[in-house]
Amino acid sequence: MLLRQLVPQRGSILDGGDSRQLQFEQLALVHLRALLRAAVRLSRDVSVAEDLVQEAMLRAWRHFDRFQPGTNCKAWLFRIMLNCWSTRHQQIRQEAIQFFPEQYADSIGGEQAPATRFSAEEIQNSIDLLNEDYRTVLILFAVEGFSCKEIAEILGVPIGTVMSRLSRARTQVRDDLAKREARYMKAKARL
Amino acid sequence: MICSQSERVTEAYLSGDIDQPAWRKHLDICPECAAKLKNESDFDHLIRHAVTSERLQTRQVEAHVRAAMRESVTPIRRPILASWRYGIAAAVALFFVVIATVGYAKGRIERTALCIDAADDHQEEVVAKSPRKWRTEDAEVQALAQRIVGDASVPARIVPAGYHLVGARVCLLHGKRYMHLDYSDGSNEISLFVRHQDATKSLVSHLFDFFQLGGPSTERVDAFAVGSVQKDNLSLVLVSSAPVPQAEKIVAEAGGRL
Repeated sequence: MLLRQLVPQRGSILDGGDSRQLQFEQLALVHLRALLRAAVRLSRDVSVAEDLVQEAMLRAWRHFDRFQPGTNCKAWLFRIMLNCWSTRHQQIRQEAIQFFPEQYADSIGGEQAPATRFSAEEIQNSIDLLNEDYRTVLILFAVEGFSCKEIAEILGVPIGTVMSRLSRARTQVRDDLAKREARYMKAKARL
Repeated sequence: MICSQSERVTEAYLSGDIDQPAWRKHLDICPECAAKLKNESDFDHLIRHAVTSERLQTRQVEAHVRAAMRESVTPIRRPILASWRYGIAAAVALFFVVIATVGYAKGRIERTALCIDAADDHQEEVVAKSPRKWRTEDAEVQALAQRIVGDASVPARIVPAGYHLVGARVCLLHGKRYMHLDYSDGSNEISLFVRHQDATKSLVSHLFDFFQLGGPSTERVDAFAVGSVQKDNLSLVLVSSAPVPQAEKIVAEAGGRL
């Protein structure tokens, strides 16, 4: 909703009303939140994620003429962002998770919460425990709704690799949640 | 009851094959596989909800992206290029200032040295009458003028009013060959030194000459008034024991007839 409000009318950035600009806003800029969401999980650091998304968006803007209309712009953007991330990854050390939820006042339109005894934060922590390859495919598949074929194209790896990573990622998250559940039940039994 | 297909549900779900009609048909009749599929789907729903429930602020990032886009769209007016232009203009201006300064200084130095040499030559050869071989015949003088100055008529042309030619010879002033012309009005003798300028000069020499004074100028050197003037390719130096204003007048007249 917020993004729709922010998507400017023709000529809001360029006085001359540049069609390239408008096209970019309509096709690419609308995916900014999805990119940021994935970037946060990927980097586990909000400020790093913001920088990453900004860099990816600017790179996409500079090379927007290479984007083929009619193809999947979201996948194209994710591919750019993951390329940016792998470039940066050499330089950035994985740091502790730094979330300051009170700074983030925007609400997201409500998808109904599934019936679960785990909090969102616990599930996020389980995802964050995955190694980067597993985490990436899980986010792209489960959160962003890409198919394994699309993920394979985005990451430039065989589809079989994507599927095996995805399968292991799901298994690891499930195992971690099961351990949490066991600890919880044990603690409850002590009481 | 154990379905033989249940082991393949996860793989079919991940690959997208689960949407194929064969799988749809099977799921309609197999509660075990349908339950497994729901389990997988619920798991993704759980993950999706956990990740998307995180509150994220995109406004700042978007503002930064838009600002950067705006900057990259603005036709590159190229401050670097602009500064280059200013730099080039400044360098050219500085070059001309240096050339003008050096040219003027060089001209002043050469003129002073030339005047001193001319005064010494006049003192030695005209006033002190040191024995030198002077050419006195008109034909000889004209031949010498043709050879040194490139114009046989110069000695007769520049003779000051009331003066007549006494003699002519070749001498060196400030390392350059001049034709020394001795004129007399009966009581006073003056020397006029004439030289044809080099025809071939470098560009830098031309630039230096451009900033040198070419008009008549007179100064006092020892007991003499020494004036000089340039016109076209000829340069003329006068040495006289007359007062400076009178010498200036003679230089101007002779210069006008060069």
